[in-house]
This record gives sequence, structure tokens and C-alpha cells, in this order.
Amino acid sequence: MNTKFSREPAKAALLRRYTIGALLMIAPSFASAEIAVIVNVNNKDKITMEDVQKTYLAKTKTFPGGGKIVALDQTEGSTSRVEFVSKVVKKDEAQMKAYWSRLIFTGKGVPPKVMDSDEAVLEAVIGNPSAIGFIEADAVTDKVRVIGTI
Amino acid sequence: MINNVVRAGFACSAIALSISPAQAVDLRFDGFATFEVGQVLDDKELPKDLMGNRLPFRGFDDQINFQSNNVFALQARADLGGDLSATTQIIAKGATDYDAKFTWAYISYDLTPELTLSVGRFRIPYFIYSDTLDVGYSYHFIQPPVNTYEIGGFDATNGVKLEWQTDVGGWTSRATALTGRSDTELTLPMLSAPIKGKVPRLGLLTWSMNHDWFTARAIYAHSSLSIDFKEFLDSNVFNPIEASLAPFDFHFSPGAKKQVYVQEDKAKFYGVGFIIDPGPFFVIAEATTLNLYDSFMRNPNMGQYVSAGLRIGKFTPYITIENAESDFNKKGYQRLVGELPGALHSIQDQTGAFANAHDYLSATLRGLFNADLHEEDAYNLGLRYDFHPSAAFKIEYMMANDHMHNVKPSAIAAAVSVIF
Repeated sequence: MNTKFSREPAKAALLRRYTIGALLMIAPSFASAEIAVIVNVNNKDKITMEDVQKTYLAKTKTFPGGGKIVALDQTEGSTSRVEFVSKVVKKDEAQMKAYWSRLIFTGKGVPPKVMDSDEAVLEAVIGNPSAIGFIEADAVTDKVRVIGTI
Repeated sequence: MINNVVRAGFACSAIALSISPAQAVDLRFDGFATFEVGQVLDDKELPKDLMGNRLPFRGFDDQINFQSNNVFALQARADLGGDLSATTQIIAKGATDYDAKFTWAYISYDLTPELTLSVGRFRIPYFIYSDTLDVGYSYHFIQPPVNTYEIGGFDATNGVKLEWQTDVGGWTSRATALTGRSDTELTLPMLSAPIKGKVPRLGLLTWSMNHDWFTARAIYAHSSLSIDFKEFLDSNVFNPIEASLAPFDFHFSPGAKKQVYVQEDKAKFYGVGFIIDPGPFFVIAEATTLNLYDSFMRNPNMGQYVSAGLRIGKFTPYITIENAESDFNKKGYQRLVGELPGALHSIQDQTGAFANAHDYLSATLRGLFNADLHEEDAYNLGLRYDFHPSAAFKIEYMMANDHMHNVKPSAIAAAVSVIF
């Protein structure tokens, strides 16, 4: 590798290194926004990411402490949702849709309510002690409790 | 789907005031539709019925067909608060000229977060895909394996259902207990018009365990079954035979005839299945059998299939291999034949087709027991393309080896399934 680089003109090599460096810096925020899963500040339950996954697959309807869960979703295709579905629910959006269609049309579940932005989720979680939602980590404030960031 | 949620607040209306202040009902509308088109590739390979007419294959014949498998459905769910909800699903099918029917109509109550009690009309969950049989979007194939999924129209029930979902270690356990009655109109190859079939007392248990990408399922159901064709059998089979044997003063015993009639006969249904679905690929397999006791069929249907697919972006190529067969009531047949007068062995068969009159009548009775038999291997190759967030396009080549009729029908079908 080094020998190959050393044969290149110094300027070109430098430029290439900068370009790669710049790409590496951009990549994390571009390819995967960090997602925070949030609940109301008064919710003291110990909630794992596995619990969150189960909630969004309708496999659990209550928090570990027994309280009923009001799960909040975001618009399909939004950055937060794409990331959340892939990292936490571990499905892609099409699979998630087919999965939920089986629950909806058999009466086994009502899908989480869809909010149209991170701000709307934040507001709903602040106002509802039973709520759980996900937003981009940058949007988190101290008015909600973060269960985990992924 | 979410846009369809209508929040109907009646707080200010006079009606609401008369009930209680701030009564609110969450109404939610969802729907699904499938539009399917298909054609049989070679009509000479279509099986024939007893009258010599070609039977359709998977709902298709040699004419391009735009209607027979189309489905359009609307579902409404009202959350009444206090863990109580009411759901109804109205389905219109192309095969019945879009005559809309209530497939589901029930009230559910969450006894606990894990335990739900439902009362009303719902689909009977005999198979993995029974619950969403009409929701083409929810599965990869155009039709779930049709031979295995054949249950003679007894697919819905009026009754009570208890569902229990709980965590066991890292596993999600789902159990359903159901009891109810199910009536249908049956089409039997020996009859020209549909007849009534009744399952007055159905008891059913299903249990599934899911962990991440693995799901296993088992089902057991039992019931009694009655099919309204005693009179048909008497006037078309037993009476003519007895009349022709009048010189012998011959009558079949009631016990022997009972081996053919389906009158409050015991029926048992068993099934197992699994789903392996890590994401990039999936494998689904299911095996089920229905056993009848003291009726002309011993095993009206025993089906099994494996279906596997790859998810490559928006494309899902898949393959399904299926085998289905049935068995008749051999003991019942032998008992009837055993009662025929032995003297018939030395009487000439007037049709000339058989060695003697005994053989002729045995063959006639055998035809009765054989009427509903089938044995088929099926192979399907298809591709699902998720071209839109709420819609999928599917194309499938369907082929079968029908051992009973000795034909190999095949068809090409395409479908668009949407949910909204």
C-alpha cells in the first residue's frame, strides 16, 4: 500500500487522504442517525431495548412495572423511523408493514399512533406518563427520560 | 392506515350528554384488496369431474380470468375505552360477484394485558395463514398452498375465543382456545347443487412459541360434522341397489349405511408448523390432517408444504412445494360390500363391464367412496415485488401433478395486493 501511495504525486496523495477523511467524518451522521428511545420522566421502570422491540411488535402491552404502554410511532420513511425499525425492531419497513397487517386484520393489535415529527413525539411523551417513543438523539431534552441510545 | 383513524368526539353533542360527559370513541378504518389475473396454460391438463366437465385449477381456466380471486375488504374497529373494542370486517369477493359478507364481527375485552376474550364471528385459525387468508399483502405467495388450506368452507365460526399471550423466558407464547359453531354450503363432486354442512360444536386449541426469528405452532381441533346428503344417498344409491336386489329381499343394515352418511360424525384436526425468518431469507413449513370417523371419507385432507424465499431489497423470489392427499373409509366400504348377497357372484353383470353382478355393485359403491378423493403434488415459483410502501405485485407459476386424475395442470397468475 505504502509503496503504491509513494509513487503518487504528493499533492494527489494528500487530496485523496483528505477526501477519505472527510467521507469518514460525514458517514456516521449520514448513514445512521443516533436514535434515542424516550419515556416520561416519571416513568422509573427498568426498560431494555428488547422490551422496546417487543412493544413495537405488539408482543408486550405493559411496562415491566405493570403500567399500560402507549407506544408512539413516526411517519414511514422518516429518518428516525427507518433507523428505529432497523436497529431496535430489527426489521425493515416493508417487513414491519406486512407484520402489522397480520395483527391489524386479525384484531390482535392496534398499531402505535403515528406522530409527524420528533418534536411531536417529545411533546406527547412529556405529557403522558404511559408514553414511549423514539426520536433522533440530538432532539432529546431533559424533560424526558432516555432509556437508551442506539 | 394511520390517516384513517377518525377520532369522533361526541363531547358536545346532545347524545353524549345523555350518556356521560366526554364520551369518546376511537374509530379506526383499515382495508385491503387483491386484484388477481391468471390463466391455465394447457386446458387439456385440467382434471374432469364425473360429468366430464373440465374443472378450474386454482380458480383459473383457459380463458384469462380477471375476477374469480379478487378480494376487497374494509375493517372498522371501535375502541370503546376500558379495554373494550368492537371489530368488523366486510369482504367482497370476485368469485361471488362482490356480494359483501361479514367475515369478522366481534367484541373483544382485555381481561388482563395478556388475556383477551372475544365473542362473535371470526375466522377459525386452522392454519398459519388462516387469520389473514384474504390479506394478500401479509404473505409472499399469491395464494397460500390451496390443497393444504382446503377446509370445505368451514373457515369461519360464531363463538367465543380466548387468547393468551405471555413471555416465557425469551420466548413469546401465544395460545388460543375457541369454541363455536360453523355452518357452510358444501360442494361435493357427486352432487350438482351445494348442500348444507354443519359443525355444531367446534373446540379448538392453538399454541405458538416465538423467539426472534423462529416460530413453532401446533393446533388441535375436534367437532362433530353433519352433511345434509342422506336423502341424496338413499334415493340415488341405497334404494336403487336394494330395489334391484328385491328378489333377495336385501337391505343394507343401518350400521353399514352409517359408514357413508355424515351425521354427527366425529372429526379431528391436527396440525404443526414452523417459520424461520431471520430477514434475508425465510422458510415456512406446515402439515395438517383432518380425520373423520364413520363417514365415507376417513381422511378428507392431509396436506403439507414447504415455502422458502429470499428478500433481495424490494424483491422476494420464492418457491413452494406442496403435497396433499386423502383417504376413504375402507372399513365402511368393506362392510357394505360384505353385506351384498353372495349369490351375486354367480349372476352375470348385465352391463358386461364386470365379471359378475357382485363386482358391478362393489364398483358402484367404491365410486361413492372415491368421489371426493384427491392426491396432488404442487410446485409454485413466484416473485413478490414491493413496489410501493402499501402495495405489492406478485407473479407466480403454479404447477401440479394430479395423481387422481392423471393430469398436470399449470397456470400463470399475477396479483396486486394493497392495504390501506
